[in-house]
Amino acid sequence: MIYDAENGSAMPGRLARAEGDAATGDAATDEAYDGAGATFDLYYEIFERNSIDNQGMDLISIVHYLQGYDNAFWNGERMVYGDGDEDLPEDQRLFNRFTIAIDIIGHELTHGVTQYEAGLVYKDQPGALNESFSDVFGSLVKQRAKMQTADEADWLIGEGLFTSNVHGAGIRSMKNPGTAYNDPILGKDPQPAHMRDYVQTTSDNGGVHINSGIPNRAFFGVAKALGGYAWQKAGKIWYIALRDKLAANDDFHTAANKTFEVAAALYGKNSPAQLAVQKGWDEVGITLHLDKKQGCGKNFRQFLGWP
Amino acid sequence: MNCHNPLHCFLPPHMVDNIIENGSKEQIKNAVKTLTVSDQMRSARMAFPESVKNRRSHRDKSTG
Repeated sequence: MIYDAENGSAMPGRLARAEGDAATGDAATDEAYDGAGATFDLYYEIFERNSIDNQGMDLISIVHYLQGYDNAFWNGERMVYGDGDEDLPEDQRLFNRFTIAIDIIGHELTHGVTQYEAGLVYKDQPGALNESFSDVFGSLVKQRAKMQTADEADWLIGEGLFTSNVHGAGIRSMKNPGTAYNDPILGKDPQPAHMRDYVQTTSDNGGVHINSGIPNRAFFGVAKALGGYAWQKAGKIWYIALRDKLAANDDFHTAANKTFEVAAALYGKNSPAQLAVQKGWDEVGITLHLDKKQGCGKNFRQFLGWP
Repeated sequence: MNCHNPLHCFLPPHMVDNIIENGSKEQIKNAVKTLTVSDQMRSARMAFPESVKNRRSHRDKSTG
């Protein structure tokens, strides 16, 4: 259900589009509706999850929140989207409306899934994992909506959010963290792609929006190695880990180990999927220590392009 | 900041900070509004944490 705050702060506001209603013609309303639907469909059809809480929770979104509000957020119960800089003269605008990119919608709704599952604490590495899972499933929502393979996808988060006044392709790049934008006003994308560049900071809850570049790049590496549609194998491994394995204070290494375990459970020990998970984390500087029974066979090393 | 009951904003705070530092008067106005509203929403959530449903009441995580 989509509500319209009509540029005020009262929530939820006026019901603009109920489930099953026809398109309204209002871009933000219809994008929020379609994006929530695409997110619900990914979780339901691919991961057999019934909404955010897996118990059929209504997806409530609020659009046109305030005027000149440059953000979107999940507040624990609902999604809220600002209109960006639509109130400013065109040459001053930095952001379009926040419903414009479907992965933003998938990203924010996934915070709800995480809240109901792993409950990753929003600080330091668990917080960066929380952000990363939202980017992963936000990107998968977008890729599935476009029916793109891992090779075809751009792996950008928030593509289309910037106006043409900004030097940038998106808010983050999962493929090449740290390269999404470089702009005189917004600054340079600060995301690291490897543990050697991990950013120690007290701001942003320990850099949750910054260090998420590392697990983001690991997921990209896994999806790229496996090929095909990323939601089918890589996405399933990440989802099962989030649903069944990860705990609130888990760090990157623990997440790596748990995704590795899930890959074995789903696809077999030493399967290409499991070894792709190992390689994906290895590429970002997180080495999994395997017991001898988990050693890599020559064929799988060749499959992954390892020496 | 309540890390167990946070407000999940899409736009990274460092980006908003940069707008406040480098932007035009109009851009700064929107950035400040964005920061202020986010802080207010966080405060509201911290004041009523019991209103936020959360994780896995239906399953025992420790067995995972």
